[in-house]
Amino acid sequence: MAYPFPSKEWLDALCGLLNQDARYQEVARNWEGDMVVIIEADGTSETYTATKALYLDLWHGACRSVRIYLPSSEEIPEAAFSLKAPFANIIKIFTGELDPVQAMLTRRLQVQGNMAYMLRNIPVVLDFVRCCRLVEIEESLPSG
Amino acid sequence: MHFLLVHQIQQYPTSQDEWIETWRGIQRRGSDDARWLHSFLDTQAGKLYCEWEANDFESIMKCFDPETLAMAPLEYQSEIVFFDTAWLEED
Repeated sequence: MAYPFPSKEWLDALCGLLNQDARYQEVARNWEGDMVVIIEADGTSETYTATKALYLDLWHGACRSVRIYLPSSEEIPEAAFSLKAPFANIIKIFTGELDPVQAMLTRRLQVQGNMAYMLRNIPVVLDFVRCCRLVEIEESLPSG
Repeated sequence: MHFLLVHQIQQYPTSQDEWIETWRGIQRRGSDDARWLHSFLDTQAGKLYCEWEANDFESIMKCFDPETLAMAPLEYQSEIVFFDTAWLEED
Protein backbone atom coordinates (compact mmCIF):
# COMPACT_ATOMS: atom_id res chain seq x y z
CA MET A 1 0.00 0.00 0.00
CA ALA A 2 1.26 3.45 -0.89
CA TYR A 3 0.98 6.50 1.35
CA PRO A 4 1.23 10.22 0.71
CA PHE A 5 4.65 11.53 1.69
CA PRO A 6 5.34 13.01 4.08
CA SER A 7 2.24 12.15 6.09
CA LYS A 8 1.27 10.73 9.45
CA GLU A 9 0.03 7.64 7.60
CA TRP A 10 3.43 7.06 6.01
CA LEU A 11 5.20 7.69 9.30
CA ASP A 12 2.89 5.31 11.20
CA ALA A 13 3.47 2.65 8.54
CA LEU A 14 7.23 3.10 8.89
CA CYS A 15 7.01 2.86 12.68
CA GLY A 16 4.96 -0.33 12.41
CA LEU A 17 7.41 -1.79 9.94
CA LEU A 18 10.43 -0.97 12.12
CA ASN A 19 8.72 -2.73 15.03
CA GLN A 20 8.12 -5.84 12.94
CA ASP A 21 11.32 -6.03 10.95
CA ALA A 22 13.57 -8.65 12.53
CA ARG A 23 16.65 -7.47 10.67
CA TYR A 24 16.23 -3.86 11.82
CA GLN A 25 15.59 -4.97 15.39
CA GLU A 26 18.80 -7.00 15.36
CA VAL A 27 20.98 -4.36 13.69
CA ALA A 28 19.58 -1.54 15.84
CA ARG A 29 19.48 -3.47 19.10
CA ASN A 30 21.96 -1.07 20.73
CA TRP A 31 20.76 2.15 19.07
CA GLU A 32 19.75 4.90 21.46
CA GLY A 33 18.63 8.14 19.93
CA ASP A 34 15.57 9.91 18.69
CA MET A 35 15.63 11.64 15.36
CA VAL A 36 14.03 14.54 13.57
CA VAL A 37 13.95 14.55 9.77
CA ILE A 38 13.26 18.03 8.45
CA ILE A 39 11.91 17.91 4.92
CA GLU A 40 12.22 21.31 3.31
CA ALA A 41 9.59 22.44 0.84
CA ASP A 42 11.83 23.16 -2.14
CA GLY A 43 9.29 23.94 -4.82
CA THR A 44 9.78 20.64 -6.64
CA SER A 45 6.38 19.29 -5.61
CA GLU A 46 3.06 20.93 -6.32
CA THR A 47 1.52 19.26 -3.28
CA TYR A 48 4.33 19.69 -0.74
CA THR A 49 4.46 23.38 -0.02
CA ALA A 50 5.18 23.70 3.72
CA THR A 51 8.26 22.30 5.44
CA LYS A 52 7.49 19.42 7.81
CA ALA A 53 9.53 17.61 10.41
CA LEU A 54 9.19 13.90 11.11
CA TYR A 55 9.99 12.90 14.67
CA LEU A 56 10.94 9.29 15.46
CA ASP A 57 11.77 7.97 18.90
CA LEU A 58 14.10 5.08 18.13
CA TRP A 59 15.36 2.97 21.01
CA HIS A 60 17.06 -0.42 21.01
CA GLY A 61 15.54 -1.60 17.74
CA ALA A 62 12.07 -0.30 18.50
CA CYS A 63 10.16 2.69 17.21
CA ARG A 64 8.51 3.98 20.38
CA SER A 65 6.61 6.90 18.90
CA VAL A 66 6.35 9.15 15.88
CA ARG A 67 4.91 12.56 15.18
CA ILE A 68 4.83 15.16 12.44
CA TYR A 69 5.61 18.78 13.24
CA LEU A 70 5.02 21.92 11.24
CA PRO A 71 8.11 24.05 11.99
CA SER A 72 6.29 27.20 10.87
CA SER A 73 3.82 26.92 13.75
CA GLU A 74 5.23 24.34 16.18
CA GLU A 75 8.47 23.99 18.06
CA ILE A 76 10.44 20.95 16.87
CA PRO A 77 11.65 18.84 19.79
CA GLU A 78 15.37 18.61 20.37
CA ALA A 79 16.41 15.15 19.29
CA ALA A 80 19.72 13.30 19.43
CA PHE A 81 19.93 13.60 15.66
CA SER A 82 18.53 16.15 13.28
CA LEU A 83 18.60 15.41 9.57
CA LYS A 84 17.62 18.08 7.07
CA ALA A 85 17.24 18.01 3.31
CA PRO A 86 15.11 19.43 0.55
CA PHE A 87 12.05 17.34 -0.36
CA ALA A 88 13.59 16.22 -3.67
CA ASN A 89 16.69 14.81 -1.95
CA ILE A 90 14.65 12.99 0.69
CA ILE A 91 12.57 11.40 -2.07
CA LYS A 92 15.76 10.35 -3.86
CA ILE A 93 17.10 8.74 -0.67
CA PHE A 94 13.81 7.00 0.16
CA THR A 95 13.33 5.69 -3.37
CA GLY A 96 16.88 4.38 -3.71
CA GLU A 97 18.08 6.95 -6.22
CA LEU A 98 20.56 8.53 -3.78
CA ASP A 99 22.80 6.65 -1.36
CA PRO A 100 22.35 8.03 2.17
CA VAL A 101 26.09 8.09 2.92
CA GLN A 102 26.76 9.90 -0.35
CA ALA A 103 23.99 12.33 0.58
CA MET A 104 25.74 13.04 3.89
CA LEU A 105 29.20 13.40 2.32
CA THR A 106 27.87 15.89 -0.23
CA ARG A 107 25.73 17.74 2.34
CA ARG A 108 22.63 16.98 0.31
CA LEU A 109 21.50 15.59 3.67
CA GLN A 110 22.62 17.74 6.59
CA VAL A 111 23.22 15.99 9.88
CA GLN A 112 23.39 17.50 13.34
CA GLY A 113 24.21 15.32 16.30
CA ASN A 114 27.00 13.07 17.44
CA MET A 115 28.59 12.09 14.12
CA ALA A 116 31.00 9.72 15.85
CA TYR A 117 28.04 7.76 17.24
CA MET A 118 26.34 7.78 13.85
CA LEU A 119 29.44 6.55 12.03
CA ARG A 120 30.05 3.81 14.58
CA ASN A 121 26.44 2.78 13.98
CA ILE A 122 26.26 3.39 10.25
CA PRO A 123 24.77 -0.11 9.64
CA VAL A 124 21.79 1.01 11.75
CA VAL A 125 21.38 4.13 9.63
CA LEU A 126 21.56 2.13 6.42
CA ASP A 127 19.06 -0.41 7.67
CA PHE A 128 16.73 2.36 8.80
CA VAL A 129 16.85 3.74 5.26
CA ARG A 130 16.21 0.23 3.89
CA CYS A 131 13.03 0.14 5.98
CA CYS A 132 12.03 3.62 4.80
CA ARG A 133 12.34 2.39 1.24
CA LEU A 134 9.93 -0.46 2.00
CA VAL A 135 7.11 1.94 2.85
CA GLU A 136 5.75 2.84 -0.53
CA ILE A 137 5.28 6.49 -1.38
CA GLU A 138 2.27 7.65 -3.34
CA GLU A 139 3.23 9.14 -6.68
CA SER A 140 3.82 12.86 -6.23
CA LEU A 141 7.34 12.93 -7.45
CA PRO A 142 9.34 16.14 -7.65
CA SER A 143 9.47 17.86 -10.99
CA GLY A 144 13.12 18.89 -10.72
CA MET B 1 49.91 -0.39 -8.64
CA HIS B 2 47.20 -0.96 -6.09
CA PHE B 3 47.65 -0.79 -2.33
CA LEU B 4 45.52 -1.80 0.63
CA LEU B 5 45.79 0.36 3.72
CA VAL B 6 44.13 -0.69 6.96
CA HIS B 7 43.48 2.02 9.53
CA GLN B 8 42.48 1.39 13.11
CA ILE B 9 40.09 4.19 13.97
CA GLN B 10 40.99 5.87 17.26
CA GLN B 11 38.70 8.83 16.96
CA TYR B 12 35.66 9.30 14.73
CA PRO B 13 34.81 12.76 13.40
CA THR B 14 32.44 14.48 15.79
CA SER B 15 30.52 16.45 13.17
CA GLN B 16 29.45 16.10 9.57
CA ASP B 17 31.70 19.02 8.61
CA GLU B 18 34.74 17.45 10.28
CA TRP B 19 34.07 14.15 8.52
CA ILE B 20 33.72 15.77 5.11
CA GLU B 21 36.72 18.08 5.54
CA THR B 22 38.96 15.25 6.78
CA TRP B 23 38.11 13.01 3.85
CA ARG B 24 38.20 15.82 1.28
CA GLY B 25 41.59 16.83 2.63
CA ILE B 26 42.95 13.37 1.89
CA GLN B 27 41.44 13.47 -1.58
CA ARG B 28 42.76 17.00 -2.25
CA ARG B 29 46.30 16.01 -1.36
CA GLY B 30 46.08 13.16 -3.85
CA SER B 31 47.77 13.49 -7.20
CA ASP B 32 48.54 11.53 -10.33
CA ASP B 33 50.96 9.58 -8.13
CA ALA B 34 48.38 8.50 -5.57
CA ARG B 35 44.61 8.17 -5.90
CA TRP B 36 42.22 7.06 -3.17
CA LEU B 37 39.77 4.69 -4.86
CA HIS B 38 37.38 3.54 -2.14
CA SER B 39 37.05 2.36 1.43
CA PHE B 40 35.19 -0.20 3.47
CA LEU B 41 34.32 0.54 7.09
CA ASP B 42 34.19 -2.32 9.56
CA THR B 43 32.21 -0.82 12.42
CA GLN B 44 32.60 -3.89 14.61
CA ALA B 45 36.39 -3.75 14.59
CA GLY B 46 36.64 0.01 14.03
CA LYS B 47 38.82 -0.51 10.99
CA LEU B 48 38.85 1.26 7.65
CA TYR B 49 40.06 -0.73 4.64
CA CYS B 50 41.16 1.59 1.85
CA GLU B 51 42.24 0.81 -1.67
CA TRP B 52 44.64 3.18 -3.39
CA GLU B 53 46.12 3.35 -6.85
CA ALA B 54 49.63 4.77 -6.58
CA ASN B 55 53.13 4.71 -7.94
CA ASP B 56 54.44 3.76 -4.53
CA PHE B 57 53.49 3.68 -0.85
CA GLU B 58 55.35 6.91 -0.09
CA SER B 59 53.10 8.83 -2.52
CA ILE B 60 50.08 7.64 -0.59
CA MET B 61 51.50 8.74 2.74
CA LYS B 62 51.93 12.29 1.39
CA CYS B 63 48.12 12.50 1.27
CA PHE B 64 47.79 12.25 5.04
CA ASP B 65 48.40 15.00 7.53
CA PRO B 66 49.48 14.10 11.08
CA GLU B 67 46.04 14.89 12.56
CA THR B 68 44.28 12.52 10.17
CA LEU B 69 46.76 9.75 10.88
CA ALA B 70 46.31 10.30 14.59
CA MET B 71 42.54 9.82 14.20
CA ALA B 72 43.05 6.62 12.26
CA PRO B 73 46.62 5.29 12.53
CA LEU B 74 47.84 3.02 9.80
CA GLU B 75 47.87 -0.54 11.01
CA TYR B 76 48.83 -2.42 7.88
CA GLN B 77 49.71 -1.72 4.28
CA SER B 78 50.49 -3.92 1.34
CA GLU B 79 50.61 -3.89 -2.41
CA ILE B 80 47.64 -5.87 -3.72
CA VAL B 81 46.56 -7.33 -7.03
CA PHE B 82 43.09 -6.80 -8.46
CA PHE B 83 41.02 -9.76 -9.64
CA ASP B 84 37.62 -9.16 -11.24
CA THR B 85 35.08 -11.95 -10.77
CA ALA B 86 33.71 -10.97 -14.20
CA TRP B 87 36.83 -12.59 -15.62
CA LEU B 88 35.28 -15.94 -14.71
CA GLU B 89 32.58 -15.42 -17.32
CA GLU B 90 33.47 -17.33 -20.44
CA ASP B 91 31.53 -15.28 -22.98
